[in-house]
Amino acid sequence: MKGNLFHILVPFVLAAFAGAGLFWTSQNVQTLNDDLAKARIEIMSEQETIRVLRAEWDYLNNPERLEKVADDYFSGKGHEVGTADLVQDPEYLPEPFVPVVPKRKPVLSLFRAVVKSGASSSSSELSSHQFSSGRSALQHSPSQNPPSQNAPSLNTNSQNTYNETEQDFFGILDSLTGESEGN
Amino acid sequence: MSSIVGKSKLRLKIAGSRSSALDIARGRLALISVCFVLAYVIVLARIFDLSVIEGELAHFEYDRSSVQQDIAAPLLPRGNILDRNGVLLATSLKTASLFADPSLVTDPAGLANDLVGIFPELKYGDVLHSLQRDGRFVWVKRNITPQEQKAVLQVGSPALNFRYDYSRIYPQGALVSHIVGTTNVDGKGVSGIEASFNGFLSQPTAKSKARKVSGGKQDEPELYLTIDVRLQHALRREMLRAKNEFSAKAGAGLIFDVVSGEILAAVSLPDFDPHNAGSYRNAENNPLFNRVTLGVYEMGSTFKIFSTAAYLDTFNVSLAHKFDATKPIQRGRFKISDYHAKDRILSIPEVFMYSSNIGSALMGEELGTDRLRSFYSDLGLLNKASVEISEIGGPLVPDPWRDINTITASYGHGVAVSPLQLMVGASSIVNGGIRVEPTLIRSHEQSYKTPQKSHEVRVVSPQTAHRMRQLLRLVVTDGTGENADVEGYSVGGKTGTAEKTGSGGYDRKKLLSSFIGFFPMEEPRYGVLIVMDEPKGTKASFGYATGGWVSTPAVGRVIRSMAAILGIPANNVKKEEDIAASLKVFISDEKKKGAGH
Repeated sequence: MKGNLFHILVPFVLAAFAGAGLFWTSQNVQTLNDDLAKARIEIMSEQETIRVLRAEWDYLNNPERLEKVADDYFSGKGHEVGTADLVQDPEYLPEPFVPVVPKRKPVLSLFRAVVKSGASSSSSELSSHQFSSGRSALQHSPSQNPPSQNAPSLNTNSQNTYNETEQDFFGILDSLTGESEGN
Repeated sequence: MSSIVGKSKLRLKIAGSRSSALDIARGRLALISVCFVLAYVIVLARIFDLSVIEGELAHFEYDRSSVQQDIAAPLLPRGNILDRNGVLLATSLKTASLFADPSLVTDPAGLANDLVGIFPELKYGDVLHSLQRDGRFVWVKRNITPQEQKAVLQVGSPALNFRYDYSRIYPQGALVSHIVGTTNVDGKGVSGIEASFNGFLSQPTAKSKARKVSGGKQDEPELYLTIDVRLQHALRREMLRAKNEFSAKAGAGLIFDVVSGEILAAVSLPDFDPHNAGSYRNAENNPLFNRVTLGVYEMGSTFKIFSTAAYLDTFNVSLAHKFDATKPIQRGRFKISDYHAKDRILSIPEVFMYSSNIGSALMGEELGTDRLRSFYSDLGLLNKASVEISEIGGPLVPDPWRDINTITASYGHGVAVSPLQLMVGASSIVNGGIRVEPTLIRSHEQSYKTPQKSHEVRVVSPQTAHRMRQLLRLVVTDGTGENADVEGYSVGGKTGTAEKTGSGGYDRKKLLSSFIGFFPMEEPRYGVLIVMDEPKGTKASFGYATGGWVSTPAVGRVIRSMAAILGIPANNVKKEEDIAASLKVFISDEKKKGAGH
């Protein structure tokens, strides 16, 4: 009896598995087909964009326009490419970006400082005070490691920019840890 | 105890003779249950498929049927036309075209009003009429801009719909308009390369099916021309300057590689914006007309290159050979005289540099009709030029060709050829005497390199070719082409000023002023031709509108630009080492410089 039932059920179970497998495969194929179609459509769209950009590039670089632009900006004005006399007013020059390059890895050193102080402190959270102390510790490093020697000499505010950039950096760090100086 | 016995009896009964039937019934019940369970599972699976999986797919931002259609039969653009450096001269971009389904229009008058507001160039009456037609499809406007499409969408009428197709864009505008040509609204080439290579550029269904499609990338045809847009611009700029300065009616110009036969630039003025070619149909001076390949003109003195070369090659005479130009000569009803008569006996270099009609006529006469005609035929001047463009003008040749035609043809009258034919003929002489075939299609290998030819057709001997180079250089150093000289580039050339035929013969006031120049003359590589139609003399030119005043300076400026664009180094040679220096001995001291033919 049990043997008969077993013999009856096994094909059904196998059929059910086969059916499920077939269903799964068909769904997969369908999904992949859709993905493929979507990818092809995206490729076609990108190709179309490339066509437009290419046409625009050659339109904007047509010799007549280039000659006109060159005449407008260089001809008869005594200007030469790469000379400073093209600049009407130095005030409008953007401040050169000087990236912050601390001597040590800031986050690790900061956490080390926090862990050390955290051992003595009851709170395990980073406090604004700890951040401030970490920051003041870090603020020494730029002075030890001055901005790049290649920074333009006309930029008299390069140190200020450096500090501002550094503050931005700490702002990002604050937002990452959910802390701010006001808290 | 009895109950126990009873129970055991019952058990025995059940396990007795009828047990097999009961088992079968149970088995069947189990089977039916399993079937039902499986059926429910399938139904549940399908419900899950329809509601969850299919539902997810429905979130795709595209319509699957249209996607399948796009992929199965993608809209393939017409092939690109590029210059020799890969700069786009013609391409196809996908644009929307607006159509309407009149059966869905509820308020034709209002919709027509809205459409005319978006497209002011459409007539209200026409739009209203088309919206009231029977049927389900009517074009409203083909190839609309994205801004216009946005405005149409804002109208929000269900009767309006878009169909996307490719429209032809010419990023260089009018710069190469005559060579590239145009297509009609259905994307079929109607002129220029667009017409002559229509089959290659357009993509017929059979070919597009066979075209390799891998990863969605279609193998689009791209046609590289020999044109260099930088040179094209330099030539056009200088021609426009000369045209405006001398108030010329029209102009034609060519930059040619005399070795490979590649046309590097070809300008016909006035030209046209290929995006609106139809609007030029009735414009003044017919801007659609290609004057470089289709227009044929009596070229005048530039033809003396051919008659002189034929004379030197046939008789192999010394350059000191003399011709009597003391007075005009009379042949039949024709009186042949010189523009600036020297009234003396002239050597061959003098005949050439002073552009003496008398000297050239005497050369032609001595050569005879058969020889001169055969020579012109060898140079391809008597047959249509062979170049890959649909607009080719056939030369006008006298028929029957009499002896007097030989005389006039020797100084460029009586035979009308296209500027392209003139350039090809002259190039075949200065390049060393090998017949050159013009081409507009760049092969993959060639990029300003000297081609390796499998066969050559020699038209003049190397000695004659060298002598002709010397003579052409002499015209620029001491003759009528002085304005074309560019220091360090050893320019040689020949001026030409032909009177145009009007009603009742030649009109002295209507000139065709030209200059054909080559450089560097030690081993010529490039030829530049500028022909100006009906220029008017100016104060600065002392009233002259001859080739020496009009076209020669323009060719000089073009060569100067070419040197910078192509990075050709200057080669300053001493005067006594100039290729033409040895010809000075044949020139009389009484030579005068000045304007001439």
